[in-house]
Amino acid sequence: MHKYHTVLAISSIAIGLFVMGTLLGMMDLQLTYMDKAHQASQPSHISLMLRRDVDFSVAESIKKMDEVNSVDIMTQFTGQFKTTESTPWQTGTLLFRSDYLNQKQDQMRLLAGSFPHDKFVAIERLSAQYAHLSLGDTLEIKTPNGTEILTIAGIIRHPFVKPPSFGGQLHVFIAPELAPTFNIPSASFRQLLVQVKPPYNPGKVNLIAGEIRQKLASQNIPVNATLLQNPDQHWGRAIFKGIHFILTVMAWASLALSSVLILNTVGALITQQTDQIGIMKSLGARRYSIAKIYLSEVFVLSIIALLIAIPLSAAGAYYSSRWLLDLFNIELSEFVYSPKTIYIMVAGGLIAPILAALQPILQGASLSVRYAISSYGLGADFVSTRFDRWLELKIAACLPTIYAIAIANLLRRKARLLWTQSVLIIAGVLFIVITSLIASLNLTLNNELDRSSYDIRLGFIQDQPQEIINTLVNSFPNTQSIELWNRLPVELSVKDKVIQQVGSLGMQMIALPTNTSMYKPLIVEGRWFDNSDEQQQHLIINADTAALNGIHVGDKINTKLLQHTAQEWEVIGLYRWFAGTGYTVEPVYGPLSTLQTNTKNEFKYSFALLTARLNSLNEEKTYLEALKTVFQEHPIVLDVYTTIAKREQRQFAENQFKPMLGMLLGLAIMIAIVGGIGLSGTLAISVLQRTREIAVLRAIGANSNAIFRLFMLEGLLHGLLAWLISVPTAYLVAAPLAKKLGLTMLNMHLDFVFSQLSVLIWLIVVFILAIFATYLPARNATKIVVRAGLNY
Amino acid sequence: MQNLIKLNHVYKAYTQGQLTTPVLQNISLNINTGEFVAITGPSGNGKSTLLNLLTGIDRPCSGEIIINETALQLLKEEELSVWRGLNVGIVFQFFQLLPSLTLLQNIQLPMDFVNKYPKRERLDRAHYLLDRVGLTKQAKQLPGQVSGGQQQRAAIARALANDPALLVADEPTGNLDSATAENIYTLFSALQQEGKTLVIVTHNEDLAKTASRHITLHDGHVSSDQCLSKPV
Repeated sequence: MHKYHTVLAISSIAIGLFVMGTLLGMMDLQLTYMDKAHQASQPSHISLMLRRDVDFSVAESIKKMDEVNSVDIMTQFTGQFKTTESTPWQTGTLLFRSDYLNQKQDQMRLLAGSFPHDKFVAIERLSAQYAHLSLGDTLEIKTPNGTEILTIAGIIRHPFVKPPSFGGQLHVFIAPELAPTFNIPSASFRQLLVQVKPPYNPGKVNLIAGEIRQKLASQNIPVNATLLQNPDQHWGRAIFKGIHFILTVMAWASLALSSVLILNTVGALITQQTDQIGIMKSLGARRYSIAKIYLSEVFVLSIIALLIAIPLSAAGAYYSSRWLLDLFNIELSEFVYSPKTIYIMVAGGLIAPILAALQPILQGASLSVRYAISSYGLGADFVSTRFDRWLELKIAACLPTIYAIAIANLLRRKARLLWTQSVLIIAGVLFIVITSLIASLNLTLNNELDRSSYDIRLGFIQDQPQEIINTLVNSFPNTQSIELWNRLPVELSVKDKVIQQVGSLGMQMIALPTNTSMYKPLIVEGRWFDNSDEQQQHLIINADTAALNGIHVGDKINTKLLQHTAQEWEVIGLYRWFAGTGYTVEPVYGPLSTLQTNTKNEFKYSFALLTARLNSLNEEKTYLEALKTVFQEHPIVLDVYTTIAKREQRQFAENQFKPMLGMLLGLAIMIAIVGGIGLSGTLAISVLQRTREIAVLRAIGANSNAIFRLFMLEGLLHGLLAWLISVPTAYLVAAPLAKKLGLTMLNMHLDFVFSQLSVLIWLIVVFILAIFATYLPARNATKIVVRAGLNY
Repeated sequence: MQNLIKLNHVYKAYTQGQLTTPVLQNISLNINTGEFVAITGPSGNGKSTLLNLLTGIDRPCSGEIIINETALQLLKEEELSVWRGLNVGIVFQFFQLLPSLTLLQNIQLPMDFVNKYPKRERLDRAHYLLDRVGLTKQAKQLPGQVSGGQQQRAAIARALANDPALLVADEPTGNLDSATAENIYTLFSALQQEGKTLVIVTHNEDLAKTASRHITLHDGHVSSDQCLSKPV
C-alpha cells in the first residue's frame, strides 16, 4: 500500500477509535467510580435539615419508627474564620458529628491525619485544595465570645459538598466538645439522616419522609429541607444524564466519521491501483481473491490502529474522568481503565473499517479487465452536471482559469465532497450551537438577574425581628433600601395527594410584599402579585411543577404551612424557575400579609433583601462580609444556602456550567479536527488521483507556486462551502437544540439568542483548519516531477 | 539559418535495481529555427526520451542540451517549468486537456501561468487560437463533449498559447483516425509556414513525409537524418 495511504488509513481509524474510546471510557469510569464512592459512604435515604438544634432523644424516637432501619446525626452551621493573620475573615461551614469513629451514614472519610479532637480540627479535601491548607496549619475561628486558634489535624472527604469554585463554602470539621464554644449544645444535632429498611423503594422512602416530618412537626421541630437519595446511584448522575447522552452519540459518530475517511482512502487506493487489479484479473485472479487482498490490508491497518488507539484512549479516559470525578470530590489516584470500552473498541475497530471499505473494494474487484488496464488521458472518470457547468461558467467569466479548476475539482467527486463537507458542516453546526448555548445561558442569567433588583439577600437560620435587622443593616452607609420577606416549608396537595415537585429539597413558601420592588420572576401564565392580593390566599407556583401535576391558573390547591392546618389557596400565576442542576428548594410565592395573618407571626422575618451602592464584585464581597460579621456578632446565624450576593451568585452560576460547556466545546473542536483530517485526506487523495493532471499543468508552464495555490484554493473553497452551509443550518437548529440541551444538561429553560459572533469565529476557524489541512497535500503536489507524473 | 536546438553528446540511461539500460547514446544534433522534424523508429529506441529531454521533462545523464541559448541541464525543476511555459508548446498523444475546463479556458490556462500576455489580451488570444485551429464554435464546450480530432486541435492551440518558438508533439495522431490525422498534418505544415519549429515523434510514415527533416532512431543512436525539404 502507498505509504501516504497507509498513514492516512491508520490515522483515520485510530483517531475515530481514540475519540470513541476516550468518551465511552470516561463515561463508564465516571459513573462506576461515582457510584462506588457514593455506596462506600453509606448514603442516607432521607436527610432532614432542621431549623434548630435538637437533642439526641429526637433521633432515638425516629429510630423507633417501624420502617426506619437506622438513624445518624450531624450539625452544620455557618462560622467565620481566617487562614492567616493577614487574610480577611471569610464565611464557611463548620460541621461536627457526635462520634466521628462510628459514622453510620453519609460517612466522612479521613484521608490524612486524625479526626477532630479537642482544639484540633479537620478540613474538607476540596476546601484544603482551594484554600491551600494542609496539616499543621492553623485557623482562627470566631466564636460568640471572641476567637479560637485551632490547628488542622486531619483532611476529610465529605461526600456531599459543593466545590468552592462552584460557590461552595469551605468546610471545617470540629470536635463535638467544641460545639458549646459556639453556643451549640454538644449533645444536639441539626441534621437527621435516616436509612429505611430494605429493599430500597423511592415511593416508600418519600412516604416515610413525610411521616418523619409530621412526627417532628408534632414536636415543634420545623424541617427546612428534605433530601431523598438513591443509595446505589450517585446524586451527580442526574447532572450528567443529558450530557452523557450527547457524548454517547458523539462517540459513535466519531467512529462513523472515521469510517467515512476509510471509505475515502480505500476508494482512492482502488482508483490508484486499477491497473494492478486489471493485471491480476488478466492473470486469473477472481473477484473474491482480489477483494480478500484489499480486505486483509484493511484488517491489518485496523489492528495497527487499535494498538495505537487503545492505550491512548485508556489514558484519555482516565485523565478526563479523574478531572471530572475530582469536581465531585472523588479521588481517582491509581490508573484504571474500562474493560467494557476496550471490548467495544476492538469490535468497532475491526468491524467498522471493514464495512466501510467493503463497497469500494467490491466495486474495484468487479472491474472488467478491459476497463482496468485501459489508459486514458485526463478526466476519463470526470462527470460534469449541468449545475457544475453553469457554476463553472459563471465563475470562469469573472475569475482566472486557475480558480475555475479549483471549483471544478471541488465538485468533481460528489460523494467525497458530500462526506468531507458533512464532517465539516457537523463540526460547524455544533460549534455555533454550543456557542449559542453559552450566549443563551449568559442571556438567561442576565435576564434573571435583571428581574432581581436587590444586591444582597440575607437568609436567617431563625426568623429575626424587623427592628434588629433594620438597625444592623442601616448601620452601613452603603445600604440604600431594605425589604423583608418570610419563608416557611409548605406542602401542596390536590385531592389529598401530595403533588410532585421539581425541587429536589422540597418546597418552601416565599412570602413577600405584594408590591415588592426587589424581585419579580418570569411569569409564563397568569399574573404576578398586586395590591388586590393583600390578605388573599393566592399562590404563584413553578410552571414545571404545575405541568407535572396538571395544575392550571385558577385552580385551588391544599396548602399546608409547616404545622398549621391545610387551607385552600388559589393559583393565580405560574413562574419559570431557573434553578439549574443541583439541590434546590422550590419556591412557592405567596403574599406576606396573608402568611403573617395565618401564622400569627407579624414581626419576624426570614430574609432581608438589600440594595446598596456597590460598583464591583469586590465592593459587593466586602459589604457582604461586613454584614455577615455584624450579624454574627449579635449573634444572628446566617443561612449559608440562602444568603447570596448577586454578582457573586452570577459568577458561581457561570462556574457551575463551565465544565459541561467546556466539554461540549471540546467536542466541537475534536469534530473540527476530525473534519480537518477528513479534508486533508480528501485533498491528499485528490493530489494522488490528479498526479498526471498536475504533471500536465507543469508541462504547460505552471510553477510550484501556481500548483500550491490551486490546492490551497481548493481547500479554502471546501472550508468556505462548509461554512456557507453550516450557518443557515445552525441558525435553523440552534434554537430548538440549545433549548433541548439547556433542559437536559442544565435543567433550565433558556432564553435563546443566536451567537452572531460564533458565525465569524467559525469562518476564521474553518479557514485556519482548511489551511492546516491543505498545506501538506498542496506541498506534496508541488513536488510531483513532470516525467513521473505523466507516467502515473 | 539560426540553430534553435543543439544536442552535444547526449547520453541517457535508466536504472532499475542493478540493471542500467542505455536509451540514448552519444546523440549530437542541431535543429534550426523553422524546421519541421519528424522522429521515427521502432518502439523502445529512445524517441519519447529524446522528446522529454528537449522539453526539459527529463534530464540527460551526460552531454548538453541547449535550446534558444538556454542550457537545460543547468536549470532546476522550478526554472524548467517557467522556461517551458515561455519557450515550448507540448502536444500529447492523449491530448491531456483539463476535463473541467472549456476548450477556451484550456487555452487561456498557460497564459495565466506564464503571464506573458496582459490579462485583457488573453481571452482575445485564446479566441484567435481557437479560430486558428477551426474550433470557434466549440469554444465553450468541455473536452469530453468534442471529438478526438477536435481535442487534439485544441491541444495544439493550447501549445501555441504563449507563442513558443518550439512545438513538440508525441504521437499526435496516434489516437486519431486517418482523416482526422490528415487535418493535423495540415495544421503542423501551416505552423511551419508561419516560422514555428516543430519536433514530432511519430510512427505515422505519412506524417513523417510532411516534415522537412526526418530523423530515425535505432538502439539509441541516430541511424538516419534526412532533409526532405527546406525549412521555412
